[in-house]
Amino acid sequence: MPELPYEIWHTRVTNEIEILKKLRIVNPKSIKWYDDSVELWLNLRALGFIQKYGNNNLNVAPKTEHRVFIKINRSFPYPGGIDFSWYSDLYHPNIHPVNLYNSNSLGTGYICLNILRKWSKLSDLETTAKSLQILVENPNPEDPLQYNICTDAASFFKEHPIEELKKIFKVDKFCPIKEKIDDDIVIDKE
Amino acid sequence: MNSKNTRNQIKVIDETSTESDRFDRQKRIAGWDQVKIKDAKVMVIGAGATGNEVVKNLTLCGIGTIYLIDYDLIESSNLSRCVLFNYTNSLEKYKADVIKDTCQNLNPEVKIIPIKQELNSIDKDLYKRSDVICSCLDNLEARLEANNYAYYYNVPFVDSGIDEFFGSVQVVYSGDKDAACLQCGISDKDLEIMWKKFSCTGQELSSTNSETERIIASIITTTSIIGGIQSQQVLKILLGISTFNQFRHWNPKIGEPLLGKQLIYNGITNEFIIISKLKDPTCWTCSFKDKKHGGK
Repeated sequence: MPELPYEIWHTRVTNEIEILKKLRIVNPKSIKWYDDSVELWLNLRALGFIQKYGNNNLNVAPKTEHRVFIKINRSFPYPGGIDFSWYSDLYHPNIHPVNLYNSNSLGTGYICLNILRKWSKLSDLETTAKSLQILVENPNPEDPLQYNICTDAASFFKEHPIEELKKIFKVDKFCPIKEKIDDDIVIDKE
Repeated sequence: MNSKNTRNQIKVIDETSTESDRFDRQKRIAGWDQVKIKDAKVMVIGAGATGNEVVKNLTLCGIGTIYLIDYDLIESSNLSRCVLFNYTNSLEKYKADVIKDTCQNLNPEVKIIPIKQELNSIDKDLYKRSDVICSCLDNLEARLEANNYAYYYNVPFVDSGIDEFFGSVQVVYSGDKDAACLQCGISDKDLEIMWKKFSCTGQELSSTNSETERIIASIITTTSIIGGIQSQQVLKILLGISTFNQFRHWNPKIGEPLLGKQLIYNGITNEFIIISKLKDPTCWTCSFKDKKHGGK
């Protein structure tokens, strides 16, 4: 993969992280700069669900805080310059978290989202973080990842669409995408 | 200063100099300055078919130093279109080394420095040290890398491409802020192909999409035409860039290079088409200081 000269790369990455800081979805203490890469943790707020047995007859519970690990390489913003892995527990057909409920082995952290693979000229960390939030709230059970937990989640979300779950748990107010976070930056949901 | 001296020298032609001076005929070109050519350092990336043509032309013109970057070995399939390779003693040797040896015979004064490394591992100071950078490459990734560094270090960059009977040449220079760079012309489709190449094994690519095949059909006639045009751009830049930097126009005797434009050669209809390249205001490389992606 080609790379940008270091100064251009550094400026661009710094600016993108600044935008994330304004949105308060990145923990500033978690940002680690290395010679040719940057590592950071996103704290996303979005309405997702985890498995929780005995909680109710659906055996799920809402979860609104999520942690995603991002590694930005020197070849960023060219394709392959950025790696995402999902760490916190989540019951989702398109996400295979590293830390899984009720499992001794670690997950892969894979996220099945088109824009992570098809990095376009106008893609940036801000839109990607927002689309991750949207993905959590809008699982796509038609195209699950091929792990047991994900196919499991796919059949669960086919049976219980997300709107139905929202009504059951009365969690509409958790939805942070409607929140106004900063004065000039508003995350709006179409 | 040099150009005046040279012109005066040419006017006083005695019989010995017309025959003994190696560069006598080209010194007769109006606006030519052999000293500039002699002092020039040109970086040529890729020593394939076009690279051979470019290095040969530059060597015969009397360019002082050529940094030649190529890590590849010569195979039999290269010999049909590489003028500096030789069937008897070049096979299985480094392309850069063989070109260096052959060019010493063509012009003993030329200094060719072979660098047998991949482009992304070379010393970045080489870009700064060069006066012009030429890319004679077969893939988009390396081209973009050369474009990015050349633009960043304010070095003129001449790109060329070959496909069967088609070819193209484009000049990128950050001295003209309105001129597009290579990254400006990159589409999302290109990025997708790059990503596929990066993440897949390549087998499925060649069967589904001919653009992504690594081996390009190529013929010596097209490469010599494109290599000739490309070396001409290098000479134009070397002779005219000081005027351009000072007065913002190119020396009319030499003419302007294809800056911000792309020349496309169509060998099937025998046409040369020149298209203007549009600058992308969100370009990663050349607009990084103006836009959101770069500094605010």
